[in-house]
Amino acid sequence: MLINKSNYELFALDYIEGNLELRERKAMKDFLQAHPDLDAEIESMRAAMFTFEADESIIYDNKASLLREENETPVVFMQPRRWYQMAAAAAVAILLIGFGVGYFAGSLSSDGEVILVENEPKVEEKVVPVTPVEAEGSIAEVEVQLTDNELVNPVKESKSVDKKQKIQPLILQEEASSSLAIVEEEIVEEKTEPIETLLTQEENIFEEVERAEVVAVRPLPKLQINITINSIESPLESSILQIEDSKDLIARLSNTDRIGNKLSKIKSFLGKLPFEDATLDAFVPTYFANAD
Amino acid sequence: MTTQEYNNCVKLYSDAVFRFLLKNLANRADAEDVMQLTFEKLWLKREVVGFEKAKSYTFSIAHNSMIDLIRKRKFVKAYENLPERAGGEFENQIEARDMMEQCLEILSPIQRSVILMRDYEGYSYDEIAKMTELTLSQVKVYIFRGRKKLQAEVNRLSKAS
Repeated sequence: MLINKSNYELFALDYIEGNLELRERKAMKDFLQAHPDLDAEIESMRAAMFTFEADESIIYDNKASLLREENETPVVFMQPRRWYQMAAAAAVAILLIGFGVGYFAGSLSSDGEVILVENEPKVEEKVVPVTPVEAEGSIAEVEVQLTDNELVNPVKESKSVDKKQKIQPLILQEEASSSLAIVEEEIVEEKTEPIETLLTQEENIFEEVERAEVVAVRPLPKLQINITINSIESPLESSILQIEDSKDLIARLSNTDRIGNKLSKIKSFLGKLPFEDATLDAFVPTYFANAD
Repeated sequence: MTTQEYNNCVKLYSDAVFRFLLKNLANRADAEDVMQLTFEKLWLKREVVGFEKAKSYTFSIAHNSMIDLIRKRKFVKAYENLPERAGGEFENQIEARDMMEQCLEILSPIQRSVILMRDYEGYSYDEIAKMTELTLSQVKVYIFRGRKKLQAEVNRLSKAS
């Protein structure tokens, strides 16, 4: 074992007190022979070790202030414990209130009316199978029916809607195609009819065709929007509401002075705890680490 | 530890802890304050501290609380580098001191504390390491350096007188 100037202090105390093993003691002797100044110092310490003796006459005469009632639960212990309990109770209460508010908020529609859970799947069943052709010409009716939720028998209703939807565009298409055919024939064969009549006929035709196209194209997105509002977005919306309400509630509750005071008391109490709580300011492990 | 055992701790160890604190802090009011704090902490932790470990635990709290107090008052200076006795605030607080107390004053708070634990209570270096949360090597070096300083101081005072 090599003992040098940087580590001899680790062995010096045990050397003076005679607690080194043979090998270490020999290494220490070798080192001290090479350093006479340190040898003299250590020999002087060995000759008369400077130690302290406790002064037995010093006694602590205020023991009564430290003693505790053996049958009574002291206040000092209860205070911190009560803070924890109250903090835990407050946390549970906040969570319960949050979930409660969220649950009720979730069961409200965008109109603020309570929708029975039984009705929701009915709306979906009724709306989802609607095809583009079926959708034509019945926007208003469908919207009203869906938003009002008045349909007791959705299957029946959707059938009646289908009939109307199917009939109308068919008629429009027949009219449009037959009128066009007539106009073409008339123009090619003989120009017997006045131009104004032809023009008005064409205008009518194009108007009708245009209307038919509009009717065929526009209802789809409208209907889809309607569906999402009533059957899809509603539960999502309610879940968002639920989260926002809970957060808001917790934020508002934790900002109140009462809770804030309790929290600060808990924090200050934790700061006074001894060394198990090494992360807290009141304790000193970092001080020890840096002290040497 | 039961309440009864805690009260036994007070009866059995409070004198020793008080002597230890008084020697370390050289100020009765400070020693009293740290006494109250120490036993309050012991009381709070009584459910996790066994009676057989209560004495070393109490000394451990006392040491930590005392060092903390000194640190907060910014009494911790480069004691190790001071060639002469440390003067100032401590000196004013103590009216009459014997040579031993003067010698104690030249030590750093940790040196003083670990040496007194060793000399007053006869704790082993290993026990002191656990109580102060220092390593065994640190404890040995603190005590060796402290004793060396004390030796030099005693020699100096002897020559002066």
